Amino acid sequence: MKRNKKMIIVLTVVFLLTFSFVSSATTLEIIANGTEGGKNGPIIEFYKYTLKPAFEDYMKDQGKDVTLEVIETAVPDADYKTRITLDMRAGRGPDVISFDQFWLASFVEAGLLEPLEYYSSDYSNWEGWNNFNEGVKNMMAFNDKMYGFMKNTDLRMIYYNKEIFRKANVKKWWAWQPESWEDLLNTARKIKEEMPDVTPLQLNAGEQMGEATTMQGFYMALLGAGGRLYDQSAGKWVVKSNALLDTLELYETIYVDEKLGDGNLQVSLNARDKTFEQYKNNEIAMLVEGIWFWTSVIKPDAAWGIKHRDSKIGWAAMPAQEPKAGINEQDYVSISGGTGWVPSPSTDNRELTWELLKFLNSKEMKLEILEINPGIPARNDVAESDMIQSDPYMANIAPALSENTTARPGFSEYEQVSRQVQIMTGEVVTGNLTPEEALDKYAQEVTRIVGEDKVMEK
Amino acid sequence: MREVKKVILRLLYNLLVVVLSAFFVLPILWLIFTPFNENPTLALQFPLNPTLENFSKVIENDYAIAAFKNSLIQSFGATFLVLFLASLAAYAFSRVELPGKNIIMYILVLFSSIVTGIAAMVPLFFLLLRVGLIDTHLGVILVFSGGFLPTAVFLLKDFVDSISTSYEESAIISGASKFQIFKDIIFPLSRPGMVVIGVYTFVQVWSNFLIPFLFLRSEGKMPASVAIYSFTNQVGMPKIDLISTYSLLYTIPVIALYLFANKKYGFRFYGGLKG
Amino acid sequence: MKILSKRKAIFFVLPGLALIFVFLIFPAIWSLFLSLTNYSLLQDSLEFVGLDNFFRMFTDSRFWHSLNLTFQFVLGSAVIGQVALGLLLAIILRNTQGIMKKLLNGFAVASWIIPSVVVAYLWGAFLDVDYGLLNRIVGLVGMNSKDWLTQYPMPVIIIWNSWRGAAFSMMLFTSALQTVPPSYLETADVIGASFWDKFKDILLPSLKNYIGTDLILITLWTFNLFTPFLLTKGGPANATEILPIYTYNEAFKYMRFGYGSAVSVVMLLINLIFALFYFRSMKGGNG
Repeated sequence: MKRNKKMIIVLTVVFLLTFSFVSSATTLEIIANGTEGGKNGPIIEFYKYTLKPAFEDYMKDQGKDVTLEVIETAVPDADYKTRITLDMRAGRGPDVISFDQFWLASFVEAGLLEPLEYYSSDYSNWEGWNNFNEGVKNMMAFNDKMYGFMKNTDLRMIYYNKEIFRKANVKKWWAWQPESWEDLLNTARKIKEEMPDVTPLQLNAGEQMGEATTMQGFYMALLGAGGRLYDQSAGKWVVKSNALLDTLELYETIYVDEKLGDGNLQVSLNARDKTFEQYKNNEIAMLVEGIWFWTSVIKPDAAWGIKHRDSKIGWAAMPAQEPKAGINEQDYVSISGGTGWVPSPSTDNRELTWELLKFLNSKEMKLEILEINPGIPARNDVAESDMIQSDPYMANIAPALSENTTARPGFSEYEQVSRQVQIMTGEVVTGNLTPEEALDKYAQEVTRIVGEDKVMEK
Repeated sequence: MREVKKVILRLLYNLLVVVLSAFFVLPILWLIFTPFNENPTLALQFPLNPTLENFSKVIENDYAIAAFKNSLIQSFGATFLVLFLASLAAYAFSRVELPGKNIIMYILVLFSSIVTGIAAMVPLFFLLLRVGLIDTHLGVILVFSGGFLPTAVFLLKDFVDSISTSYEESAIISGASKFQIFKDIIFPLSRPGMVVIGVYTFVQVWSNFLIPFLFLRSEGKMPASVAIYSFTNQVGMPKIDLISTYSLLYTIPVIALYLFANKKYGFRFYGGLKG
Repeated sequence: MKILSKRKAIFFVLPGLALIFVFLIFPAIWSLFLSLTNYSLLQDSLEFVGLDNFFRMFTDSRFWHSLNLTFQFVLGSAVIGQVALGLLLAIILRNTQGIMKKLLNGFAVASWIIPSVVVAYLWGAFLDVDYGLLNRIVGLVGMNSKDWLTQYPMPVIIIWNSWRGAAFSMMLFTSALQTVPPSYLETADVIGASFWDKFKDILLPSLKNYIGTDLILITLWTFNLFTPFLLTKGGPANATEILPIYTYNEAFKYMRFGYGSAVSVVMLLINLIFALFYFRSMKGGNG
């Protein structure tokens, strides 16, 4: 009797399960570190109210019943990364993951990602590729294989306060453009002299700033001195070079010798937020930052919004140490990063995941994204759109800087090396160590991270 | 002379009491006043025109409000499980002589610091995954319970030690079973200790972010400690008005629990803990 | 009379021990094993590296820096800021009546039970360089505003943790003081003993064991406390990177779980040494 009852229950459950699988829609999941109305709110709202209905309709037209579920989780970035890493390591989790471009190398080397051909055998035949900007597209490539898509990308430059420049009688304050480091420093000196209450120049340093130190600060100087962190041809990390030393000396000049910048601010708690606050309050004259700073931080109605941003704030390209002294003999330098999407190998629906990615990267969707997350578009047809062309800032920076930009080295050790860069610059700007001492320590630490055989001196 | 010295000492003593009180009061004032301000900032402002608008804005966030239910499930779940299992074990440890039991218990307490710490998160994740407890309240409750049990046993044993065995002896003579003795004598008598440990466990679970965040997946199961991060702006900075209000709401239950426990049972380490 | 036989005791202990075994001992042993490997979430294979992680740790100046900070933190905020302050508070509560007693007790306990994230926001506001209450108070005395978390990071987290935790010791000692017969102290008053004499000759000996238990628990908790991270993230630079934060950075930020586990093992051993030291000194005093 008892056994029969059990059998009946088991059969019912099996039946129900089978039935539900047959009848219910396939569900795809997409995750981002954000929540409606909060952190990264606009992109979450785009997923929920634009992408979801559009994609579901699109699939329905093809006779497929697909539900797109948006997973919201607004937490500190490090925790988001831990969560997706744990899930991927366990072979579970959402189908499409919002992903920072500079995590790519380490995730691929860890075997957590599969190239796009894993999801669709004819991925390379997608007509959308023809419209992609080759450089931006390749930011999600590793060892010649594609792993995902960039949402868009960015560029870095000097944002200067024209009002301060005018008051300090800087020449050509309305269209200022330094041609060398000395030029840049002279402007800073002039401001310090004329307006002692203003911090002339902030070039990011220290661990508090995190990746913003490496990208907005250190790299912008290093590339201008013609240096790199990684030597592509030798396949080694550069732990000592004149360019590295010149870069650190630039920091020393700015923060220690001439006090043209505020070194304590760089290493203070929540340094980046404080810097934004001071910038907004006209307390900082020049700040090296990325596009995001213009489009999200000082956007007139944003948290640190500047009311008359377009007329009050100007931008200039970051000059090389001397004209033609930059990387590839450039006069100006910039570096790019950004976020994008990768498919998760644990998906049960590879083809559908590929469909979703294609849809997400169509011109139509990319235009929607551009509106909420402005940047240098990944697609040329989007770059040519009115939205970009009618925005004087966006229309100007891309042609001026795109050919001068480069990307971070895509290696799994990058993140740890980057942390050493942050420590090293922090030690210099606080005056704890001289450039030589800091570089010695850096060389030692990096050697330990990547191994004796993968470092070189230049 | 002696009188003067006495007065000065008395004054100094009072000054000390005032300074210590201020030390504990001052940082908390912000939490009490800020949510009722129209335009809250990081500055302490007394709400001259108190408003409840921040509260109505917070209540609109369904996710964050539902999170309280989850916090209650996880905190009460872990607290009851810890209290039940710890009191059983503490009783046995107290009444039976085992060589080196203090050391054994202390070593368990030591181990618990690894597990409630950081490095064991990955082993725990894969353990829960293997037994199918990822994304369940039960999984979170079991991890917390495993972490807090040793400390609970360690503290409770001392309470039980302080209960005279004469009650139990007379109960045995009148033929009561071991479990009856435990239920009718030990459990009620060690109640002050249970209250202290219960409140301690509850507060720890209520505050913890990392364990529920890593071991849960569904938004619908996340507790308030995770949901509080939804009150940030687009770039992830806290919105002072909403976060201060939610903080107050998030704090009230633990304060209420303490006041209730204190009133009903007396929140004291009554006679326990002799080391 | 024997209250409980050893055989029956097993049934009382078993359910708790089973849970402890599965969710505590097992993952802890797993961590011990990981400490001998190069395990990382961002690595495909797991290699057994022997004691490499430990050698690496002992040659990392950052580890020693962190260990040094941890000792300062434990000495400052556990031994002085919680055990000693807790004892002082308990004595004050015993000698104070009325509203002051309620206020002091109530807010000390509140500091202890407010959720950590909330405490982080509270102290963030309290210490804020431009708006914070503390700067307004020091302003009254004519001092300049300070960026406390940047200028005095270690003292701040030590004071913060004393504020946060003193209530536990206070409650423990309040109960303990009730076991001291009031007649002893009255007699002492009659013979005109000073406060210090009373403390040294009456209170201290009768509280000795309580102080021992409290020291053990508080030291252990403080040594493993991660929550200062919410206040300082270990910074500025690495000025407040105590060992739990160091472990977090290594394990989570850089996904080096093998190395992170090794740090945990060292922390465990240091705690064990503390414990043995306390147990011994308590026993020694009794004998």
